[in-house]
Amino acid sequence: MKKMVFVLSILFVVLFQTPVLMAAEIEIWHYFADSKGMEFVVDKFNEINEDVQVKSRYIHVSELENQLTKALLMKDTPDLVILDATMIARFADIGALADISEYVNNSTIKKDLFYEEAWESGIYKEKLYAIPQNINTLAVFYNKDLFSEKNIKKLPENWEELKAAAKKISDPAKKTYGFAFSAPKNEHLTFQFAPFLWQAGATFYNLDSKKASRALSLWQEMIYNTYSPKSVLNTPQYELAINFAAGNIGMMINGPWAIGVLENADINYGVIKMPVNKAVNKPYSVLGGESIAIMSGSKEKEASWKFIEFFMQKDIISKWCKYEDRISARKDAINVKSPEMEVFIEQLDFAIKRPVHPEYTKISSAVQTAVQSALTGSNAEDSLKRAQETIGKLTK
Amino acid sequence: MKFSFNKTILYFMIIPAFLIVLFFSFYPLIYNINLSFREVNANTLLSGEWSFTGLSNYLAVLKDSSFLLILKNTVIFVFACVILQISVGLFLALYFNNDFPYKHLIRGLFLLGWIIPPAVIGTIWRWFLNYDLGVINYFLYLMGLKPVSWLVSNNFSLISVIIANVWFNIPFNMILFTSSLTSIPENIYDAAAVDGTTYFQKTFYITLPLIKSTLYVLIILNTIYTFRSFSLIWNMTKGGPVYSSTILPVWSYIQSFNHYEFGMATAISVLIFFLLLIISIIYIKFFVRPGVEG
Repeated sequence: MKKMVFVLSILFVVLFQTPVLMAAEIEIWHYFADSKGMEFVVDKFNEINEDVQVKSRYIHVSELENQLTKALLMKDTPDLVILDATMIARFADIGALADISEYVNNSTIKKDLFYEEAWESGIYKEKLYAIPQNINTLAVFYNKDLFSEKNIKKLPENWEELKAAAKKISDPAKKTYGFAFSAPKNEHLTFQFAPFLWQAGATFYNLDSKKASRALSLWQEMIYNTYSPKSVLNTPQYELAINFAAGNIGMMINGPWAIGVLENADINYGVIKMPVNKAVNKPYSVLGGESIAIMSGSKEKEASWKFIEFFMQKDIISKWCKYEDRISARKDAINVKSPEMEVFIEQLDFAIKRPVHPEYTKISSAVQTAVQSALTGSNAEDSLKRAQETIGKLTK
Repeated sequence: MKFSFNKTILYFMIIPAFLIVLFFSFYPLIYNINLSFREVNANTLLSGEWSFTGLSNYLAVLKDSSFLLILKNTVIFVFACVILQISVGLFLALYFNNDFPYKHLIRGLFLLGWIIPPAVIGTIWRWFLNYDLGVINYFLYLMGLKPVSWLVSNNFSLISVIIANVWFNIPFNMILFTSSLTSIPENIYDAAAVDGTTYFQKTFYITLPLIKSTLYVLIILNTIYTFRSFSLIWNMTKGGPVYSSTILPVWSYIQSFNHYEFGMATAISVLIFFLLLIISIIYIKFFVRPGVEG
């Protein structure tokens, strides 16, 4: 009898110790669909590390934040998440993300490896919550055939030249428009409007200024003079690229993702930097992209940081970007192949991040309302004043 | 052998259905009403400290600068949709009540509109109504008319979503009217034929009165269903430009998932619930007459 008890207790001890011998498992959530890049990084990491195993879970971009919120409510979150940089402040503010400032101090992943604006988008209330993973920006695509047809020799470098080129190309009877952008009632609008706001010398916090009005007036002029189609109010960026590919748009504001769309179409196009407003004289554009963060509820923060360190190694993030056709947030890992992408890389030096604020979606919503009001007949200054009132209350 | 049910067994038999309604309809409803009286937004959601704020969410809804516009849109949307859906559905049902070649095939084709999910319909109509590239403006152009800014003007965006929604809901009404029409006994028409009635007299004095019950049911069903439309509008215009095509359910979505203001969003939902409750009570009082078919 005593022998049986002894054997059984040994068995029990072994059984309870085995989990400790098994690898730690961490889960990462992201919204990159059909991602060979994610597959590559995860498999490679799992190969190299026996004590930590990563599981990757894809969630559709429109659902990721909701799922994350639900997970937080149920106190059952993943260990890591890759999300849009503008969402960092929101989740950091409610304590959902882990402060990784200490990890960075003892790591090779340092601030100066990244674009400054991208790095800063992960800082909230002076603590670091996310590492920028991939970035993008907006530039001007132009239709080379339409430009040569209308004999436009000089590529527009400032607002005046932009308007002049748009005017020359526009022919509403033939459904040809000189200039197009994306202004539906969602984040695409704010993303597209921000560059012009900054080019005019305004910010998200002084929309009631004359400078901000000038930016909105530029768009208003484009619409009222039919240099731009009214449908911009209902066209997301991807669709804008498809419309441009049909050949009836002289210039469009779009990002690197459009290159893939245009490649499959029969269109002769080029990319140039954003125009400048002569008063400010800088071709400002907007910074987009995703960042990777550790959830505060993770029980494997050390292991999660190991994964981030691995992911952001020069050759790993470079290969990921190659698979996903995106631009690395880490400067030395950027591997650019085409002249069009070169322009985007140049443009990144002038790319500014959108406000890092937990209520950013409301700020963006106020901007969307103001811009759409102005483009459907309201006075630009009044629309912006109302937006500024809303934003003022949020940022008090 | 006599087979009688005693009342207790009957009560037991409705327990499963009762539980389903309790958990999937009643509980969420109570939960929503609870949230509408509390401060629940992005900041307070996770802490679980949803402090009781009384009617402040409702006041925020009523005082919001867009509230009157959205309420107006909702009323116009529901009225226009219900009237058009039912009349066109009825017309089609009457039309297909006659016999002609390929009648069943063509009627089946009309059903396609209802089989497609509303989100897809929203997207399709978004392209139909595109200013430059859409089919509808092309037809207007062929007829020598000016193209219309369907989706991007404050005046027409609501009309656009009404058109798409009506198109979507006509088949549902047509089918229900059809089944009601086929239940009218033939001998009534035979008797009328003996008296020498015209087609119009037949329709207005015999057919329509006999499908009155179906008509009343469809009116209330359509109203409730249309009042809660979301996916179609969201995919067509996202409620824009600037809330001109936003109705109450769309606004509730915007508040919860764009602004994370769950307190306000649930207040809007409760408001929808009460409006529909009032409409239903009026319907029952005036249209459901006990005893007679109704």
